[in-house]
Amino acid sequence: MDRSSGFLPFMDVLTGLMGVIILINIILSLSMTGDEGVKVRVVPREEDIAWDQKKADPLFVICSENHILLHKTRIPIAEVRMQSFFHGEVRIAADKCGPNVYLLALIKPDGYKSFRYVRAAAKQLGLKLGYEPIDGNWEIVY
Amino acid sequence: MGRRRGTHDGQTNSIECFLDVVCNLIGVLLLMAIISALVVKEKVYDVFTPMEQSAGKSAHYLFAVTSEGIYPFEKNQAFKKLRSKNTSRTLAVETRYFHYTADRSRITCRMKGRSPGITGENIPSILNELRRLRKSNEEDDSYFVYFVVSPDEKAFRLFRLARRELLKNKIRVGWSPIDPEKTVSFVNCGIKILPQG
Repeated sequence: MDRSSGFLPFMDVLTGLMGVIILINIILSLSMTGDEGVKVRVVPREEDIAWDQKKADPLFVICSENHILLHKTRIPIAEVRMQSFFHGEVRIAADKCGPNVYLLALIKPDGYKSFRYVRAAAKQLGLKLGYEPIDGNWEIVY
Repeated sequence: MGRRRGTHDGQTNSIECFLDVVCNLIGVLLLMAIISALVVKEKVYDVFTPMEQSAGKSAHYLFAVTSEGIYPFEKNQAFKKLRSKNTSRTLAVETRYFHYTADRSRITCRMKGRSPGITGENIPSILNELRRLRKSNEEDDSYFVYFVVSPDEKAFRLFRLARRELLKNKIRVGWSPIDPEKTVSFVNCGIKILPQG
């Protein structure tokens, strides 16, 4: 019997393995390039400064349906509705940010109502407000 | 990688060479899969945002953005039609996409229901129209476009796309989210826009 015939099943296994790896590669690439869990950094554009400050310190506020993330502090919507409590939290967070602080609200598609509370807080506390629409599955990198 | 050597059989030799190639290829593919997965997973995308949103009261051109498309308010056209109706009663006129009603204090507009063939404007046609309008407007630097955006993922993406194209063309852009169930009102002869809610 020819020795080369002993290699053929091995080659079958190898080529099969290659196919599987190519498949895994394609699936990985597709799942990674999809929208799930995309890491995003929101960068304020300094050329758009609308007031007389050279540099501003954004205080990120992520508006979702059931809660607000004030920088990294999660405040449930029930507590956001308590105006004095929420405004106090915003004030404390803003004071930590620096002299040129402004609120940068990142609005998720279901976060419109939360955004209204943030807008009211900004107005009440005399803070500047910027806002940006974000997708629901974006993971914000600070 | 271990290889058999010293055989005088030409066919076996060629298979061994082929096996070498196949094994190396598998190694390269594995490496590529691992590297690409790591790179994509760790990639952080930057989204640039204006530091403060300008109010819509000075906008030259207004658009509503929904998940279905971008719709110009055509308020100048609507106001012209309303002014031509010289009466004190509540008035109503229509543009391509909106119903306008006016009373003594404000002009309210409501989007028309979905109709076949009405899909809103696409971004290139909006850009062309804005370029044409800007040419006729001497205050190029102050040209300002405002979007009223439904809180919806598709609408958000559409708005971001439109904004990117407009900014590339040095057109200032502002926006406001709006509760889609509410109406948009113009007061003071259409100078100010009030997204309600």
